[in-house]
Amino acid sequence: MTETTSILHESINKLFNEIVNKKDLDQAETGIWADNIWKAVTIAGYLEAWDEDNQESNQISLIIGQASGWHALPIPLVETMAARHLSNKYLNLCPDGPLTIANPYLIENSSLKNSQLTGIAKNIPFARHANQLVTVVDEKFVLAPCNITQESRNIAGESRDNVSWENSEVIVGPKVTRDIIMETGAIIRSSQICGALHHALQKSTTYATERKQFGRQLGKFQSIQNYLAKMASLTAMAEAALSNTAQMQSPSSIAAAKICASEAAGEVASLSHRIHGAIGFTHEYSLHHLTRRLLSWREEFGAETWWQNKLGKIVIKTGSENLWKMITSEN
Amino acid sequence: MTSEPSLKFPPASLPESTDKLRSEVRKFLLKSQTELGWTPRSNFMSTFSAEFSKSIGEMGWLGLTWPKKYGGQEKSALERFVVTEELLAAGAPVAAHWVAERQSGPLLIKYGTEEQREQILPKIAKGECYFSIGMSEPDSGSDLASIRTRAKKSPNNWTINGTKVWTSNAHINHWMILLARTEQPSENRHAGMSQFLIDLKNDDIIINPIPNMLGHHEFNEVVFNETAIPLDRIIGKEGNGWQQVTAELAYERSGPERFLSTYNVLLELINSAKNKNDGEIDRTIGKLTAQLVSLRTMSISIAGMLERGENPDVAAAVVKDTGNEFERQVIELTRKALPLEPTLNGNNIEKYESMMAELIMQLPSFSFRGGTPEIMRGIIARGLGVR
Ligand SMILES: Cc1cc2nc3c(=O)[nH]c(=O)nc-3n(C[C@H](O)[C@H](O)[C@H](O)COP(=O)(O)OP(=O)(O)OC[C@H]3O[C@@H](n4cnc5c(N)ncnc54)[C@H](O)[C@@H]3O)c2cc1C
Repeated sequence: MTETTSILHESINKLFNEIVNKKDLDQAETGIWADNIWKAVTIAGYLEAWDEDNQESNQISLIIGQASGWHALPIPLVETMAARHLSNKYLNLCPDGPLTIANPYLIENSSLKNSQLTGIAKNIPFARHANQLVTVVDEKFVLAPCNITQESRNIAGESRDNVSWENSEVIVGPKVTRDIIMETGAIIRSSQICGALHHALQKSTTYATERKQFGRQLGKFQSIQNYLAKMASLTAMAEAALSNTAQMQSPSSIAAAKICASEAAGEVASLSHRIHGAIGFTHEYSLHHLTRRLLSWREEFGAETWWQNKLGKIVIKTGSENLWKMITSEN
Repeated sequence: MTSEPSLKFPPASLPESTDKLRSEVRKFLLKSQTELGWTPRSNFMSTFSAEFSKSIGEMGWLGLTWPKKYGGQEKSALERFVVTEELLAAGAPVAAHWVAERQSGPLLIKYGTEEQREQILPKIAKGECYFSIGMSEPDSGSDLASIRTRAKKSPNNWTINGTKVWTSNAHINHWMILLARTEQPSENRHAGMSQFLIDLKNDDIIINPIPNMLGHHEFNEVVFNETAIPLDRIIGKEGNGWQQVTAELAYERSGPERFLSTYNVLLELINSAKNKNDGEIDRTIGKLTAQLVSLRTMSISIAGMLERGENPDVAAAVVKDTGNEFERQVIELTRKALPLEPTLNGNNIEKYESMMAELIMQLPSFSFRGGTPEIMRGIIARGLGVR
C-alpha cells in the first residue's frame, strides 16, 4: 500500500466501525434505508472515489470496496461508485445520489429505439433506493431510470429489485459490449468478497481462541487449525488476484479476481460456520451478515464458472505459446 | 472490530526495469535450448546440467542479489524473481545450481565467515558449485528439532556421528549444509543445534544411494562415522542452528518452483482445447489460470518482503501449501479432461502420455520437499495466533 491508500484504509475502517452496527444491518434487511450511513459516506466523499479512470483511483475503489465488504455496509456504495465510474467514462457525466448497476444478462425483452428503452431487468441491487442505473442494452451503454415492478432480496437481505421500461427515456452512450458491465460488477463484488472473507477469518480465529471444549481452546485442535489455515490461504489468494485488477483492468485479471473470490467465498463461509458451531447459526451472532453476503456475492456479476469459461476462452485464444507472456505482462 | 490482517501479503509489483532483464533471459533460453539440446521439464529438480548452470552463471544471473565482491550483481530480489520464474516457466535444466543459489549462498552471506564466503560464493555465482540440504534423518522428518546427528568439538576439529537421509543429489554435489546437535537436547528443543559445511567430495563420509519409486537415483543416505572436519567449517554461531535453518527454509518455500512443477501439463491442456469448444475444458483452464496468476502475485509479494528484509515465513507457507495443491489439481483436472493411459516411453517426455506418467509418479514428493502440507498449515495457524 502506498501512504495515501494506507491512510484511507485506516480512516474508512474507523468511520465504518463508528457508524455501522448490527442494528443498522438488521433494519436494512427489512427495507429501511440506512440514511445516517449514506450521509456519512457522502460527506466523506467516497461516492466520487472512483470517478476517474486511473490506477490510483482503481486502487482506492478496491480499498473502499473491501471495507464495505468487511463491515457488510447496507447501502449501495460500491454500486454508486461503479455507476459513476462508468457514466463518467462513457457519458462524461456523474449523476448525483444513489445509483446502481444492472447485470445486462438479466435483462429480457429489451429494445432500444433512439433514446427509448423497453424491457425488464431483474435483481438490480438496491434499485428501489437508486435514482438511476447503468447497463448495456443492444450493445449501447445506457443510463436509465429505476421503475420498480417488484421488490425482492438476495439471501443476505440486500434489496434486489426488478425494473421495467416501456418506451422510457434514457441517456444513450457509445457502443460497448455487455462485458464492460460484467467486469465492473465483478470488480466491486470481488472487492466486497475480499473484505468479508477477511472479516469471517478474523471472527473465526477469535472464536477459536475464546471457545473451549474438552478443556482446550478450539484452536488447539489440529483440524480447526487446518480449517483456519485453509481460510487464510483462500483469502490471501483472492486478495492477490484482486490486487492485480488495479494495475491493469484487463478482462483476464478481472476474471481471475472473480474466480478466486467466488471460489473462496463458498469455502470460507462454510468453514467459518463449521468453526462457530451452533452459535454461528443464530440471528443474534453476526457471522451471518458476512456469510450470507459471501454466498450471494459469489453468484452476482458472474459466478466462478461463468468467469472460468471466459478466462479459459481467453487463454485458449492466446495459445499455450503465449500464455506466459500474457501472465507476466499483467504484473 | 479491527481490520488488520494477521497474515500479510503486501502488494508488490515488478518494476519496469525488470522488463529488459526478462526479455534477455527469454532470448537466452531459446538459444540455449537449441544449442545445448535440453527438453523442457517443469519439475525443477528433474534435470541436472552442469553445462547449463555454467552458462547462466556466465550471464551473471546466479547470485543476482549478492554483493559484487562475491560474484553477485547487487540487484534486487524482484530481479532475481524474474530470472527464476523465466527459468522455471521455460522448463530449463536448473537442478544443479538451484539449491546452492536459492538458499545455501544466501545463508552464507547472512551467517558465514568472510573466508567461507570468499571461498564458495563466487563459485556458486559461476554455476560451478552445487549444494545439498542436510536436515532430515531416519527418525526426524517434519519434527526437525528432534535430530540426533551430533557434532563434538575438540581443540583441532569437529567430530560428527549420525545419519542424514533423503539428501538430494549428495552423490553429485560439492557441499552439504549439515544441521547437527552441538549440545545435548534440553528443555528448549530449539537450542543447541549448529550448521556445518560438509565437503561431499573429500570428507570422510559414506553416501549410499536410495533409489526413488521411479527407479531414479536422486536422493541418498549420508553416513557420518567419527567424521572429523576442521573447526572453521561451522556456519554462524554455535547453537544458533535453529534460527539459521528457519531462515533457510523461508528461501526454500516461497519461490515459483512451488507452483510451476506441473506447468507443462497446463500448456498441454490448452493445446488440446483449441477448436474443441468444450465448456468443461474451457472452465478447467480458466480455473487453473486464475489460481496460477494469483499464486504468482503472492510469490512476487514475498520477493518484495525479502527485498525489504522482512520475515516471510507465514506467507511462504501459504504459497508452498496452496502451490502444491495447485500442482496436484493441474494433474487431476487434466487427466479427467484429456483421458490417457500414462505410458513410460523412453525419454520422449514431450509426449503428453509420458509427461503425465513421470509427473503422476513424482507428484507425491512435491508436497514433502521443503515441508509437508500439515506442517505448512501449522505454520499458518501459528501466524494467525491460534497455536
Ligand atoms: C523428493 C524429495 C527430496 C528431498 N530432499 C531432501 C534433502 O535434500 N534434504 C533433506 O534434509 N530432506 C529432504 N527431503 C525430506 C523432506 O524434507 C521430508 O520428507 C519432510 O520433511 C517430511 O518428513 P518425513 O518424510 O520424514 O515425513 P514425516 O515427518 O514422518 O511425516 C509423515 C506424515 O505425517 C505427517 N505429520 C508429521 N508430523 C505431523 C504433525 N505434527 N501434525 C500432523 N501431521 C504430521 C506429515 O505431514 C506426513 O503427512 C526430501 C523429500 C523428498 C520427497
